[in-house]
Amino acid sequence: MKRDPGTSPVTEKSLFHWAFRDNLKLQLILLSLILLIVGARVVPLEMQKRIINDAIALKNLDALFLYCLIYIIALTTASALKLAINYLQALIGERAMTVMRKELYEHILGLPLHFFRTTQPGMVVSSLMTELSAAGTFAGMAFAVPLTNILTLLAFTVYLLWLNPKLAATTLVIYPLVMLIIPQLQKRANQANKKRVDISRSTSSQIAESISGIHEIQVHGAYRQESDKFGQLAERLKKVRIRWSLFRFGIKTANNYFTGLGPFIVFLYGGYLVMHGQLALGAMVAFLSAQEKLFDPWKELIDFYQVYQDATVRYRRTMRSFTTTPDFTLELPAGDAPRLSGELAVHALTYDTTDGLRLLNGVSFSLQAGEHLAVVGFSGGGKSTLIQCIGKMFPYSGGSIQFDGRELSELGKMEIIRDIGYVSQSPFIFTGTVRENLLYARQALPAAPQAGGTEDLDRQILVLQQVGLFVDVMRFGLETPLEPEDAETTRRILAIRARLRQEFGKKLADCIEFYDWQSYHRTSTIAENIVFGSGGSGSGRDSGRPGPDNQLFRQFLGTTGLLLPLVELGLSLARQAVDVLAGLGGIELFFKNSPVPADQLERCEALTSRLPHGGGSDLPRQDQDFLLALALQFTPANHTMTRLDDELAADILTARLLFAKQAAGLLPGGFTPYGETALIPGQSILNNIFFGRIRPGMPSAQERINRAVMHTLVEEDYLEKIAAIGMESPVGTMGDRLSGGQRQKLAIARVLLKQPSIILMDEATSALDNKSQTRIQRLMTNRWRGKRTVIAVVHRLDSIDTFDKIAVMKAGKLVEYGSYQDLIGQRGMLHELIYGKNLPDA
Amino acid sequence: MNSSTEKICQTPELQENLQLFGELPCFATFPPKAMKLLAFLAERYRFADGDLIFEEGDDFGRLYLLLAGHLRLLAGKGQNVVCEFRPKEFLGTFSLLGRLPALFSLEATTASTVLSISREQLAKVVEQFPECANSYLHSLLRELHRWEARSCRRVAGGGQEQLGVTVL
Repeated sequence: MKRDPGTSPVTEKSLFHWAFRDNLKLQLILLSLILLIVGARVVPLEMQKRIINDAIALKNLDALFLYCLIYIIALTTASALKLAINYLQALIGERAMTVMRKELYEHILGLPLHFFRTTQPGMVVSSLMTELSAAGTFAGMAFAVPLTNILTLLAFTVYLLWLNPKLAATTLVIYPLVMLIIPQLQKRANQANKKRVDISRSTSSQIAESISGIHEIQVHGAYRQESDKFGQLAERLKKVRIRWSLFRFGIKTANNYFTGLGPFIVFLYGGYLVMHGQLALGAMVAFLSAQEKLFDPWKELIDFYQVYQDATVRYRRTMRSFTTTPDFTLELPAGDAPRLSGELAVHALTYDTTDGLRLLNGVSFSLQAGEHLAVVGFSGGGKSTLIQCIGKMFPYSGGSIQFDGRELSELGKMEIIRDIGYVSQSPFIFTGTVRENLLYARQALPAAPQAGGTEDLDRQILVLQQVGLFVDVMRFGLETPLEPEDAETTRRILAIRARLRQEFGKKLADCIEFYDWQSYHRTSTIAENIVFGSGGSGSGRDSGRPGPDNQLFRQFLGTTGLLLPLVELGLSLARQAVDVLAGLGGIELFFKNSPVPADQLERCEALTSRLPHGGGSDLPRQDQDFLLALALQFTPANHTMTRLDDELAADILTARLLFAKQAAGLLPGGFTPYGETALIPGQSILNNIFFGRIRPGMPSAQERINRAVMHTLVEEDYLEKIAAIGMESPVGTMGDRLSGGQRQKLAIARVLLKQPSIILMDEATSALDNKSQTRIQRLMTNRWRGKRTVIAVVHRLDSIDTFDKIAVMKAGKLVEYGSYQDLIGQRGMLHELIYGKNLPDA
Repeated sequence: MNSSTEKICQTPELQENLQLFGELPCFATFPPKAMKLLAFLAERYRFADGDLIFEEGDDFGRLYLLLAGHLRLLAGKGQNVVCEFRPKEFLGTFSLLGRLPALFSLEATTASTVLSISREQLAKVVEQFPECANSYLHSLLRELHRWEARSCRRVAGGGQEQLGVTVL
């Protein structure tokens, strides 16, 4: 994180800086390989000449073998060297690009917040991931390619001049010509390329904006507007890309054409010289060959030139968009800076936006360490801006903010981060586990304590309890599916289950329907009542599912005499569903407690209209199976429209016993009946502990069960284990598995864990329910008062009487400041905010 | 009700719901098919002694018909009892109309069972049977009128400034 003030910022660095920084050794190795390869490339040319002139012409077989041998060795060496050079180039390129990306990314993360308000994430992504890759490719080539090719060119040129100066001079005339034309074309290509980079970036931003606002787009059906916006950009991009390609290929073609003129001149002029005896035929062949070989390095040089131009354009454009300098440095001051006590004095504070808008106007107040201030007022009054200035999230324009008499602008950002905790209204939760998010702020501190000790776990649990998230974390832990664990875990969980049943069994009987082998389980389906256990591999519900399609199971129902009664039950369910729900459309809400799912109602209608009276025994097999499937999913406790016949329930209990006996054959993969001494693998720890199902229709059931389970876990000394499991549970992508309230609680907890002396809260409890808000309020009043300074932007005015001071903001000004009682007594703005304008005297 | 209805063995619960809702003035004039749907959708909730059913400030959005037990409505931080409910009595008809933060809390003082319909459920029923909307509003209006007429008689001695809801 430390930045050396002596060096220039990352965005100012030249492209060549990256090619050579940390890569000097590799570049030197590359250079030596290049010198070797140039030599290895010239040798075959000389050998060609000698093979023809000395060996073939003089019929010297030994010489032929020798020259051929040297030829092949040189060729092989050149190929091997080329491979090594390519590898090194790629290595240097990737290294340079990675360093470039890392440093730029670090730079971007530190950029001021206003930068991100106007920057689309898509632009940052495309800059870092796409545009910089060209610069990386260039970094790998920056040294090796021009050097290899210039040296090769020089070597061939010298060789050609040595062979025949006149002929050489004539053929080489082409190259200056090419060097005149190509830069002209390149200039045009660069212009197109600059435009292309800019339009690409706008397109990325446009896409990012549309995706961010997808909710609005779909709600308003604005598909066409967004497609049009994108379409226009895509069209412009197409045009500029075509133009760009045209110039790029123009350069290539021009180059090919002019270098193709080389052999033409050799044939014409060289042929003339040979005919006049001024040049040996072998020399002309060698000349032709060398002349053709000039083409490759030349082409590579031109390619390099194009890559260089492209990379420079992209690199400059990319870096230029991030040239904003960070507002603050991140270093800690030298030595041990004293911790902030929490004493704060704000004087004549002003804040102007970059557009010149004054959001804070002469705000002054002071707080003793440990005092609590509520900031209230009208929206747009500058409440959030005020606490964000105090939290050093952006620099203030005028006035002063002093902590313990030290000016905020002179305190390092890291010092502020260490001693000030900030909780925003809609905190961001990172993809990961609860624990990772909990430790997020603390781990960023310079001397982050090591997480993991039991003491640390205790502290984490305490913080979770304080903010009211502990119950949620426990629930996450309890809802974690039970893995096939070791014998110890099994023993412990069974012990907890037994204790819960013993101590709370009677009290919870109206909340939980415990699994009991002897009685019909009304909150389970008929299928679950028959297969009263977990079977197959993993969850009992998924594998070897007992249904009409399962032949063995169908046969089993036949032998137990359940088949027909169940078909009859299915028919009865279908008739009742049709009676109540037919013709109402597939509204989800109506089918919540219906034994017939919405998508099957139509079939029920058809079936019952064919069979207005009578039983289902005469129905074809297909219809019977359909009704059987309905009946097997029938759950008396939920599907209250239909009654389960007592006789049928008794028969199901008999079948249950028989199923357990025959389970080995019926459910491949093993079967564990629901019993007191067995766990249900794949089901949650909680289900394994209370071992039953929650009865519907008792809103407080969950809470009562939780209390009983917690109590038992404490008694069995297993609470922390479950909490630890809960803290490892993932919060989903960007915390999407947490509710708004849970996210706010987690955000408060992560700030608390680092124990700051000043806590800034920007409507930090707005998503919490009444109870949770009261809890945080209590925490502030009882635990923080006198110890931590709190500045809270508060939206609910019914709870601000617990704050020491109230600040009322309006249009960037502090219009009232004082204790709650005083301000209410004044009957000013606060009174108006709470009681409204026209209240008659109470 | 169509011809097949008689043949279907309904649970006592569904029939009971039908009968109970039939006695409620706000549903009494609903067409039979809508009543049946409402009775099907209605949920029974059980509360333990001391359970808070909703709290002041909550948008509870439900009609509660007390089947068994005892409920009381509490106001303010002092938890003053506003009124009490015994079986067959109901509350929450206004809350079915739209979002409204509760001015009171509702507490069960013994183990209680209620039959309940949510705002969302009623809205979906009204979507299917639009004529229900008017009949529901009329019944509320009648109820409000009756309530104020009763209040007028009660406060004849003084406190008239609290009256006048029906001319709002």
